[in-house]
Amino acid sequence: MAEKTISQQFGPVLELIEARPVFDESGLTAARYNLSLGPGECVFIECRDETQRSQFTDLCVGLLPIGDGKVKCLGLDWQQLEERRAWALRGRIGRFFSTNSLIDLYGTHINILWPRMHHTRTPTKQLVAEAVRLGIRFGLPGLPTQVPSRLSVLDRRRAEYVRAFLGGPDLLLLEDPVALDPKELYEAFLSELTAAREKGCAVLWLASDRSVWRDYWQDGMQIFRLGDDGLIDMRGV
Amino acid sequence: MPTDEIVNPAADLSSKRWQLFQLFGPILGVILVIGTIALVTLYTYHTMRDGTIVLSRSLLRSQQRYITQEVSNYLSPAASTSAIARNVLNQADTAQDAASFMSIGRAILKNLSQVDSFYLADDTGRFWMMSRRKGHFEETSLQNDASGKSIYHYTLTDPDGRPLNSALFPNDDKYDPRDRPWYTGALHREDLVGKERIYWSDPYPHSSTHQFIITASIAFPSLGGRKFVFAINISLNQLTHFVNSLQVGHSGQAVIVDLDGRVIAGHNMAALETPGFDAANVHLNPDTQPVFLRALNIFRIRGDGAGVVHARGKDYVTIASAMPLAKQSWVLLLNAPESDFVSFTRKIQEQTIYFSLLIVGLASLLAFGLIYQGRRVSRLQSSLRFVGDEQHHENTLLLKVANTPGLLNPQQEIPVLSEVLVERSGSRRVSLWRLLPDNERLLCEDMFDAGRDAHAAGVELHKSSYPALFECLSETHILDIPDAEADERFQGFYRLVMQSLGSRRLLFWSIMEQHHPVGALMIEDPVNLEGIDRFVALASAVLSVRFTQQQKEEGSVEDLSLLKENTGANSQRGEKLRVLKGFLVNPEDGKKAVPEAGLYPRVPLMVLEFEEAYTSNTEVAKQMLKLVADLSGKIKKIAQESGLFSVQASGNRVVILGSCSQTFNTGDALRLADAAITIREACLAALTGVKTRLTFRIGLDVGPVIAAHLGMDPDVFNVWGEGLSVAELLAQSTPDGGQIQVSEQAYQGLRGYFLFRPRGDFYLPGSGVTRSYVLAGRR
Amino acid sequence: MKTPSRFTIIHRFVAFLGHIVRSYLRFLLLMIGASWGVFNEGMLPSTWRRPVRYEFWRSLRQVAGGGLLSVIVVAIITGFGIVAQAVFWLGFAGMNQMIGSVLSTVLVSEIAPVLVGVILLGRAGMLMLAEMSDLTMRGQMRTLSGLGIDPFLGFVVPRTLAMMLGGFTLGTFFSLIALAMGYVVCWVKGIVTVSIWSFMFQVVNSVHPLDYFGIPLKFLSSGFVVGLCCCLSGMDITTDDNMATLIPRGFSRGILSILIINVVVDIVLGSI
Repeated sequence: MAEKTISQQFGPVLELIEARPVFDESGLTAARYNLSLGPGECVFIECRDETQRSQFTDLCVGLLPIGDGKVKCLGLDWQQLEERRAWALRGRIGRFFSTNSLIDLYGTHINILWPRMHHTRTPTKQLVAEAVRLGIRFGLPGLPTQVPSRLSVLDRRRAEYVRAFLGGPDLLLLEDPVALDPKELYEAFLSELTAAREKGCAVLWLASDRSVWRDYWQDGMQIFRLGDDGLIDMRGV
Repeated sequence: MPTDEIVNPAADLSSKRWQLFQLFGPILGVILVIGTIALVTLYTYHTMRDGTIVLSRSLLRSQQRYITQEVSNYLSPAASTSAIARNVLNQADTAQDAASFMSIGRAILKNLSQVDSFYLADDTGRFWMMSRRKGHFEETSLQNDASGKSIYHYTLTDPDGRPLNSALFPNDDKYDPRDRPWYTGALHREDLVGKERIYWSDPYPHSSTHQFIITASIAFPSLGGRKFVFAINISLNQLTHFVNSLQVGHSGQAVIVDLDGRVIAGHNMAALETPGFDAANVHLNPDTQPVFLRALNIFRIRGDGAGVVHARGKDYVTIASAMPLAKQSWVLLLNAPESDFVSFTRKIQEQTIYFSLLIVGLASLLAFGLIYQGRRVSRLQSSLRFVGDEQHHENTLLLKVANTPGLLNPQQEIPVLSEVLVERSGSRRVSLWRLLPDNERLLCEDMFDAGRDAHAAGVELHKSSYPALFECLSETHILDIPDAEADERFQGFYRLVMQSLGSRRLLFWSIMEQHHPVGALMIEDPVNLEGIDRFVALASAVLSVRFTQQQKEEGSVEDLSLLKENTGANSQRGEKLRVLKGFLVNPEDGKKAVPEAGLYPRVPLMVLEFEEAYTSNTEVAKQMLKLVADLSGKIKKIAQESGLFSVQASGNRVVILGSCSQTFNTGDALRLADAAITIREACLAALTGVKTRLTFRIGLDVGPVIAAHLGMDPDVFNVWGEGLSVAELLAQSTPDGGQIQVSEQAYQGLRGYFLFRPRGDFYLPGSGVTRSYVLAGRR
Repeated sequence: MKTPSRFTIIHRFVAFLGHIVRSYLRFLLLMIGASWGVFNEGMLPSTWRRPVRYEFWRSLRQVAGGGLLSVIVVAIITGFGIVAQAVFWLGFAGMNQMIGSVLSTVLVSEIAPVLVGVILLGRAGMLMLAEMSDLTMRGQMRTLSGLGIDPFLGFVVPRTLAMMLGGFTLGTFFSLIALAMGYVVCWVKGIVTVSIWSFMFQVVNSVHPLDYFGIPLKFLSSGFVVGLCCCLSGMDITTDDNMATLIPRGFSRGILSILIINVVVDIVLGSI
């Protein structure tokens, strides 16, 4: 019970307070970043640069060192968190990477189940059943067992969706997760996204093109643009 | 989020370590205390033991000195009397010497009880003896009489030397003193000086007096040029008495032995005075005197000294020393059990252990107190935290409800209310019931099942069926029914609603608006009831507003009557029921034989699924209808041309069976696949012409299905089974729209005739790893 | 004109020397720190999660199963070669009966750890290095970190420990086979006439009691350093690196590690 409350607090799931990353000549500029993301909330960030996108998500999961300011996830400050706890906290975040993130050492099924098996004691059977359910939802006939490189690009993306949504994360960091085409996948993605948000999962959606979320955008959702000048609030623009 | 995380990021690891320390710290402390006490005790025991052993040795040593002194005193008459005799018996006349000998002997015998007798002999074979006899003294001389015959001459005198009796005996056994060892031994030592001149015989038992005798003799020349040998017999009986009477330690013993282990004096000689006791042949007994024996052995090797001997499971302190007084070969052995000396340290040790036990007990008590207190504090802390968390949780839930848009708008459904109630109460199901305006029916507005995570609605309860339940609506307080099945008010409700879930306990809360019931709230199998009433009160307040408003909007009673009429009419009209078969190509049509109901193990079948963008635009809908009509016509035609078994439409799916027979026929599967391609082409052609977002996907499988005739007159032919679900799954999960996904089983039959693209291996619980293919086209 | 160019050469040489020393020192410190980390993490029960166990068994299978055949072949050849040498030289010195003890000291305690280490390095270590560097270069290590999977926990700990265990297993196999081969050769040549058990007894007797600790330690540590060295070399790469620079570097580091650890164990145990 005590564990559960952490995800159900009032406070934001992800919070960047005047966070200034250490500038290393590439990627994120050393501007001050401010962002607050509540449970069930969805934030869109438009960013054309892939490096900046991935560095920004790294900033959010405490992998990018910051000079000053604070980055908090579920109310826990990355900088003050013990290492083991920090790794575990990252396990509560579902990720979709823009680069190919499934590794060829293992079969795709291991890739999918890996984070959950690493962070939890959930019985493998239960995880497999959930993964299969999600896989079917995204248009896979089951849990793919071949190595990722043998799968088609679309199926790989489906597998990555399954991995991101598996286990009911508290926060989803999605780097350019979806394209309008194929439509069914797009819709399946949006419906799973909505279901996750219903359960209180906060979503940070980074994309290069705002057309992908045009259908999904609702009044009151935050939109930002990430560029060399930092994070610019685009609401009202 | 799962609660079975291996590392919980929210939980501070250091507090866990602290908890562990709280538990094990005191235990470790107690162990440390015990260890320290044990070490200290061991150390003191050893030092004390060593000290007492040193002490006991010196004690033994002084005892040994004392014994040596005593023994030397005991044997001292030998030396002194020899010296006196040597000086006195040097007169010219032998008779005079004999008289002096007799008087000296008598005097000494009178005063020194350990002296048994005296001998005097000269080199001519004459012999004099002075000895005791029953309180008197006996003077014996052996001399040649005039005839040269050797004759004993006895005279018994009183202590003052007055003759009492005398007698003569011939020396029949030819006793000659010159053959005696004491005589020859003394002559051997004639040239030595001082005490060395004295010859000591081995102790021997005197048969007549039962004395254990040792003889000391000395040879000296008389004035007349002859040689005298003077001997003194000392009885060792009294030495044995003395040695036995010594107190060595508490229960120690002393013994004097010679180097061969023959006992000179000691406990072995206790039976000395009994007749038949062979005193000359008493040895240390290895069975009863192992300590002495070992001490003697050690002495033989190391000489004088103390030692510790382990025997009979005990440690003995021993001291062995040579007795330089009489014979060089005599050894004084002393032993005493170590415990005699160490026993007091044992006692102290025991006391220390009791004392330590007391301390350890107190320390453990303290430690356990500490642990208990620590646990209590941490329990208290956690319960405080729990309460805080609970409050936090409750506030979060409240916030969730409060943040729901359109909370009081009856048009908008608010599933959050039942969800929150389920979460707060930990129950299995929560249902919200609205009393319809006729006050006759309760309608389930929302029912949230926690186990399935699903909402339901629409169940209606009629007052006529559940009168008791409706009476409960006027109850203003919460009804807690522990077993709904046993409660007659809720029996009916239990059977209708609760039985399927298997819940038993029911919380019933009537929702009032100005003292009139407008609905009810029911919670099944709640777990956490603490403070639930606040929550229920909030929920019922919200619901009463919603229900009242809804009641108003639904308006008057006329509407209801209309509904009643309608429903009544519906049931009375008695129009002939149309059984919808949904067949585009009916298997029962024409020449085809209707298959029997049953399981068909290998049936080729495919599922065609349409997916569309729904519209509310009439024009678009019209267009769509036209397209659908067109498509269905085409599909029907293709199916008929290909000779497929059946085509059945239901919803947005079309189920196509290639055949339906117990034996698998590859031709059927081929025809089906061929039709699938033709249908795909037809659909693509039809769809490209129209501006629509309609897509389709096809799944093809060869698998087991169950066919049945449902209903009667006319019956409906229907199929279901694993094959159908696989085909459906394949249709749903085609990689892209407009594609045909084929199962491995179907692929096996078709691969020779069609082109396939493998999609990959996939795992499904229950069926394991399977492979799926995308049908590309004909070969 | 001449002086500055000479300076430049000296400058460059010193810079090169410094670079080498610094990089090797840095790697040494890295190894020491990571060794501690591996043991520390390996002790914690929470380290052995399902994927870590999976990776451990996978690596162990690959290390021990894959290297077994090579080890058998090499052991046979080595046993044969060493025995031939030993027989020759001992025959020279007229001490043929010493063959058992010579075999045990030379073969088991000196040659076996190094050879097994080299086989491990070649068979499994280089593969590990390639895999790890591939993952690092393609940014997938960072991806894993983003998923909360510590690469140290996910790869370095299980692989290093699997290598360690594999080193011990293969080393034991190697020793047994080489000794058996040695016996067979001697027996065929008629140098040794005792039974294999007496021969083994002779070998066992000639082994110093400390070596019963030292030889397994050598096997374990050879495997350990090879595993750790390859994992770290694979992960510790810069943007300038590619396979052409990585593989030779990893190989030289691996060989160096094996030799150093064997010498260190010898010195430490010899000084006791």
